[in-house]
Amino acid sequence: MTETQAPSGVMIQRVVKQYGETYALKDVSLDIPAGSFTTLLGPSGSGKTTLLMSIAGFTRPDAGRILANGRDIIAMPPEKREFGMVFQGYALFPHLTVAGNVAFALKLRRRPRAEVQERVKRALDLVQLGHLADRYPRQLSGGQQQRVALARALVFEPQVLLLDEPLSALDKSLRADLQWELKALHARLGLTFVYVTHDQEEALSMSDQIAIIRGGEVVQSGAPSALYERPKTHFIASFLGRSNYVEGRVSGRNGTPAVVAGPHVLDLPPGADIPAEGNPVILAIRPEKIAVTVDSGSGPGLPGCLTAWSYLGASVTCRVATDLGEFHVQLPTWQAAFEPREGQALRLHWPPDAGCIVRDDR
Amino acid sequence: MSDASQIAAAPNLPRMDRTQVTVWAMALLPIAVLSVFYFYPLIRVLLISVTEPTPGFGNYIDIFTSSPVRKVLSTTLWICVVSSSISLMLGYLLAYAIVHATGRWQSWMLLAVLLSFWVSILIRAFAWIALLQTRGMVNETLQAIGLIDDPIRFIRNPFGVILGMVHYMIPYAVLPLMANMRTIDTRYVPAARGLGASPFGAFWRVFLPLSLPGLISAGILVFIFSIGFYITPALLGGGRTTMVAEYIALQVNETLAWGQGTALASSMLFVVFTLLIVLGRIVKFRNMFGAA
Repeated sequence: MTETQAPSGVMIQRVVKQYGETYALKDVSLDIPAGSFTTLLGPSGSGKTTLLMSIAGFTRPDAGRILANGRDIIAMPPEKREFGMVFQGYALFPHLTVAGNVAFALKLRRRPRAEVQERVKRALDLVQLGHLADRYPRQLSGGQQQRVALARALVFEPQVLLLDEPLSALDKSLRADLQWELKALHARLGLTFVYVTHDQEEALSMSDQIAIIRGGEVVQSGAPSALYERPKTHFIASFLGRSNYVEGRVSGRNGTPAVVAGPHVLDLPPGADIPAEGNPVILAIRPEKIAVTVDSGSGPGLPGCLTAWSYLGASVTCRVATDLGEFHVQLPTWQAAFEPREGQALRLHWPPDAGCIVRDDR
Repeated sequence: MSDASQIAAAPNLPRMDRTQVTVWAMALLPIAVLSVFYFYPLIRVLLISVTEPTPGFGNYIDIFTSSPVRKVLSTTLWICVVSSSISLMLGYLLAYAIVHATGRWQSWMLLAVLLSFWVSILIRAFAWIALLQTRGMVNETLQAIGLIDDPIRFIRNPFGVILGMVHYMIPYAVLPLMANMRTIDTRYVPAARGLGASPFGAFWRVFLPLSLPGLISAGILVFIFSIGFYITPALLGGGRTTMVAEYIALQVNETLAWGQGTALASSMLFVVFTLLIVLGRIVKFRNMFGAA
């Protein structure tokens, strides 16, 4: 499918949506760059679907602006926005064949019959379903229905494709395959994708940008690696992957910033955005960034005692009891330099830049 | 049942047949009642239609040739088609509104529809007469406010008959239509809108085709009902608009042309059965759409 126009981005500015007393969206602003794969990630009830429906035009926000191509589209009915949409559960029309479903948007636009046939064929070939054109949706598997929904949403060459949990109804291995396919499709078409999911792995693996939504607010947005490496809050650190948390106070010992927790002083990376000395902070450390050595009685590192471990093939997850609480450590199997044994004395090490100060929003 | 000797003692009955015997015994009473009060009279009606006044199919041929019968049948047909169509249209609007209303409104609206089941057809016909007769409430009010000089003839004509029939049949159109509309996924219309359809376009291309099975089955149901209307045309038609049920009663009770009356009744039965068979197929057809 060739693009005739440059894809449009979407700017969301201070959008508010209230249902009775509760805010579904409170003051959401988000810049979705043209051609990006942006994921709205959040737990259920966080407002991510309301935000997507506001972009699609099915929900009318109470305040704020939504800009596409520099125009405010907030009052525009959904059919005028020319956004493709893949619904949760696909919503394929049961009375139309696969080809009929895909042709729907083109027939509405009164395209000549030859053009409709040609474009339907191209769209179905794009999702490798050309051979099923005459089937009805109920005769297709879940994965095939999902592809028909994609073809139907793409056939009229929208500039923006909105996807509402498109993979949630599929089983795990199929979901992984379709993640690759969606990503390849995005790269190939160059459209703006706005993708809603509650699955953090999906979000991390496909997106250029993730906006984490909680309680009707964008808590943090950015590239997947930025969010994973530098989560701003406790919620993000625990929602995207796992983390160990150390609570302590900032100290400015010898000009190098550090966190004092119990008897331990944990170095912080210089230049990080660190609160003033004496303030309470939470330090988040990813399990895979911690190295483990066998405790020889003295030396650097946080001493602890192995309480449990779990062999996962590619990695081993260890639980280590320390006087700063229990730590989870994930070691690549080929790097684990010791034979795990319950009660074994260990020392945990991590470089200063492995730690990240997070805001407490538990 | 574990007592083997008892089973063996039952004369010539293997184990499986015992339950069958129980089932038949239970069915015996209803079968007897139906035989005496339903099947026997029905067979009598069929027999009379081919034996009186002379044996043969003369009565059935008369249906197509006798001009008073043809007049009654054509009146019946057009009144049934018009009243069924109006009931279906109004029922569709009502069902659509109820299905799309929010929780509490939905129950109140449904209650309002079902309320009319509690009022007998006779009382309703008299109520319409009280309202619409020449010196009824509606005419008097219209005259009092000076909108009309002479009373309008609302009843004793086809209009009155159709009004009364539509009033009775609307709930029978609403219920099957609602049952069908509830199976239509609420995301289909937004999906059509997202693909570029206007609100009406989404209705026309998606909702209406998906509600077609409901529309057809409700239509047949209401039409079958309309054929058998007796009290409403008799009272609101005022003897001028005679429909087939009233005509049959007239043949049997007044002119004592039993052969003619029973032949007409049997023909109506045949039409209704045919429609019911078609209806049965439509309902199955609707199930096909269930697994979306």
